Amino acid sequence: MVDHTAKGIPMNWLLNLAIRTKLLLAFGVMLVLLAALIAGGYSGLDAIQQAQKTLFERDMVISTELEEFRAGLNLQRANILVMQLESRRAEQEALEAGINTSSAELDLRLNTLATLGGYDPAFATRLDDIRQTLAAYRQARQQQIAMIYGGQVEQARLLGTGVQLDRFEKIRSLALTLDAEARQRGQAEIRDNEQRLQDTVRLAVLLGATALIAGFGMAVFLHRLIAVPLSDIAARAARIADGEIALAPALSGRLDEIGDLDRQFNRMSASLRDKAELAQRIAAGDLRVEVKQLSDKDILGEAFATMASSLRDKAELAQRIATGDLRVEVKLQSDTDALGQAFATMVNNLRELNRDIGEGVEVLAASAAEILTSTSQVATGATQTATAMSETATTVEEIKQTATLASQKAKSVAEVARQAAQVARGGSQAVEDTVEGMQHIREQMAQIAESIVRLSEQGQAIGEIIATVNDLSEQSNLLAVNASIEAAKAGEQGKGFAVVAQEVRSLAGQSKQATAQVRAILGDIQKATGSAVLATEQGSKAVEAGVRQSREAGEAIRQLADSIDDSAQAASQIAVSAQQQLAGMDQLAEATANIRVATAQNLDSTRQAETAAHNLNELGQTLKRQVARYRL
Amino acid sequence: MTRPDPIDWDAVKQRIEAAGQRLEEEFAPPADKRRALLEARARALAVAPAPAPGAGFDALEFTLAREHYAIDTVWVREVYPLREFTQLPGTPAFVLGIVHVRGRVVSVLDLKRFFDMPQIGLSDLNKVIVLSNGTMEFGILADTIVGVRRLLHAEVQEALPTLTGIRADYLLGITSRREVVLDAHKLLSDPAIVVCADVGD
Repeated sequence: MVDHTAKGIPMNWLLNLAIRTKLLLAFGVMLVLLAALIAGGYSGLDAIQQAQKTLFERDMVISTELEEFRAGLNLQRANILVMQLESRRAEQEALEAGINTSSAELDLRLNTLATLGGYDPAFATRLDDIRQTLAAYRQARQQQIAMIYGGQVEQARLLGTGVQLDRFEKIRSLALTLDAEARQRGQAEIRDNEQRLQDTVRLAVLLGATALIAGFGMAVFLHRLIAVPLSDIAARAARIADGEIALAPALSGRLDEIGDLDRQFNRMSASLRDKAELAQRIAAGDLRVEVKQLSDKDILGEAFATMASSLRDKAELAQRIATGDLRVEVKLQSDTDALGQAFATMVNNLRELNRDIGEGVEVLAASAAEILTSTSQVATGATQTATAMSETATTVEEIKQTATLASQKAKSVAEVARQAAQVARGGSQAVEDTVEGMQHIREQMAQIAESIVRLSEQGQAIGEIIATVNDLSEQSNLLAVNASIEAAKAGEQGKGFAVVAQEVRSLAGQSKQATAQVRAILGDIQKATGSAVLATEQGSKAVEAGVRQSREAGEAIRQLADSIDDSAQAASQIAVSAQQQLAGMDQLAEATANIRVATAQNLDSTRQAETAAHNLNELGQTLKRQVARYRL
Repeated sequence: MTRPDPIDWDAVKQRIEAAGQRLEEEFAPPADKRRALLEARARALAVAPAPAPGAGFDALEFTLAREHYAIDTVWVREVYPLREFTQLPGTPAFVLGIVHVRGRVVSVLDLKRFFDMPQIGLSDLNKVIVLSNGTMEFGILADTIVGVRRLLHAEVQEALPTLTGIRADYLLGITSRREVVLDAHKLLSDPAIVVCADVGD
């Protein structure tokens, strides 16, 4: 918060004014400025309105009337000119009547003008001038009319274009002058009005700006003076509501409501702090606190005092219960005194509990005596069990030794059986191989037989060839004979030819012999082939028999292997069983040992239980004495 | 159980190979062997035939029912293997039939029947010896042809008195090698051989 004391004495004086006065002052200034603005505006507008009215009601009307006047004058002059041209009497009279009516109207208009422009002496002078000229003009016109009626048209026209025209022109120029003057005045009025409007607007802007500045300044001033300290105090109140009770420095020496509010807030904080401290001490258990009441209406102080005295009563009650006096009467402070009700319930429960404990202790003491008796008997039994258990453990150990031996034997048997099974499998495999080999030999045999048969067939082919050769040699022989015959017929000249024929014949004979030899050899070959086929057939049959026997042997070996396998399996199962049995025996031995240890511990425990029963019995007696201490 | 001696397959293979090689050599002998063979044959041919010791004649020797016969080649036109023959109905039993030899039709006689000799059947090996004296021509059946040989007149003896019957009429004689020499001229000109045309009656 800003310290306003630094602003000097006038500021201090302003600060010490009551807030109501400050607000009145501010609004007063604003109202005065507003009233001045309204008054200035109104007077300006009123003047403008007045000027406008004058413009419309006087100058404009004068100008209009003068226009009308000139028009009437023109009309009269035109009528005169028409009368001069018209020869008929009736028409001339009608025109004269029109001229007279128009003259009356012109007089009325002159009167109106005199009324409107009477305020201006120059205007009145000119108007009189017009009246006089108009009177002269009318006299001359009457003469003209008389001349026209008299038939002196030419004279009348001369009169009209002479003096009458001069008069007419004068009246017209005067009227025009007046009109021009009236228009000038109207224009001047309009210019004045514009000036006035500008003045009024300027005044209004000036006053409005002043009022705005003053209003803004006052708003800032009031905000700093009232709203800021109030929001500060509100923040402190919020903190107190949240439970934070802080002592703030006093807000200057302000004497207005804000200063007062600040001081009272500090008082309230101090008081709440005192109470909080008190509550703290009570909470800490200090019940000797003295509670001072700040006023007759200090509700919080009174509540604290009642609370302290009530708590002191409860403490005293608890003290008595602690010393064993359960006959105390608990008075309730109110229907909702939870602590009092709890105390009452506690005392009641303690009474019942004590009664129950007393009965329980009686029963406990009796039971403890019985337990002591039973425990002594159990201890005797446990001693006997321990002795028997020791013997059992020895026996189990011996059985275990035997089982170990059996297990080892079973293992070695299983191993031997396994090897035998392996050998049998090897034998079976060898027989399989043999059968396969035999099969192969059989196929080879078939091939050999096939080859031999082919050889035999080729021998036959050779035989056919040999037959052909034999035939050829026979023919050669015949040819040779024929040649010899021809040679013989030729006589002495055919002797050489006969020799050649003889030679041919001898060759044919040799061929025949050779073929005979080949045929003999072929016969031998055929025989050898037959015996080879026979041998092959026998070999094949022998192989068949070998295959069959091998199969039988293989089957026998396979059965042998199967049976050995079964034996091996059984042996290994026996070995496993023996192993399991041994493990079981181990467990049994261990269990027996455990039981022996447990029995020994049991014996110890029983002895301890016996001692405990003794103690329990004594405890029962002690409890009985303790319970008797409480006064019911 | 005694094991048989194992077969020496290497020796067997060697033997088969050697046999194959020998066979090759037989069919295509080496140059020196071939030459020796040809020279031997040339020498044999170069030997001049021994001059005839006296008058004789060339004879065609053949077998008939295991007996050797000979016939003078003057009367033999040619020798021909019996392939196909056509039997003629209405002819005597000794007429075997007719054969076709190089555009001529020749009748064939079976001397075994003619001479009442034991029959041993016919085969492709049987031959026909065509006899001719210019006017008459026919063939006789022979079992085998032995060849042509020169016979001396001195060598031919008179026919044995044991040979009787119809054969005796056509014999010229018998040689020292027990060859019966037939008289072809007599056979050719024998009217008994000529078959009468009106045999059907």
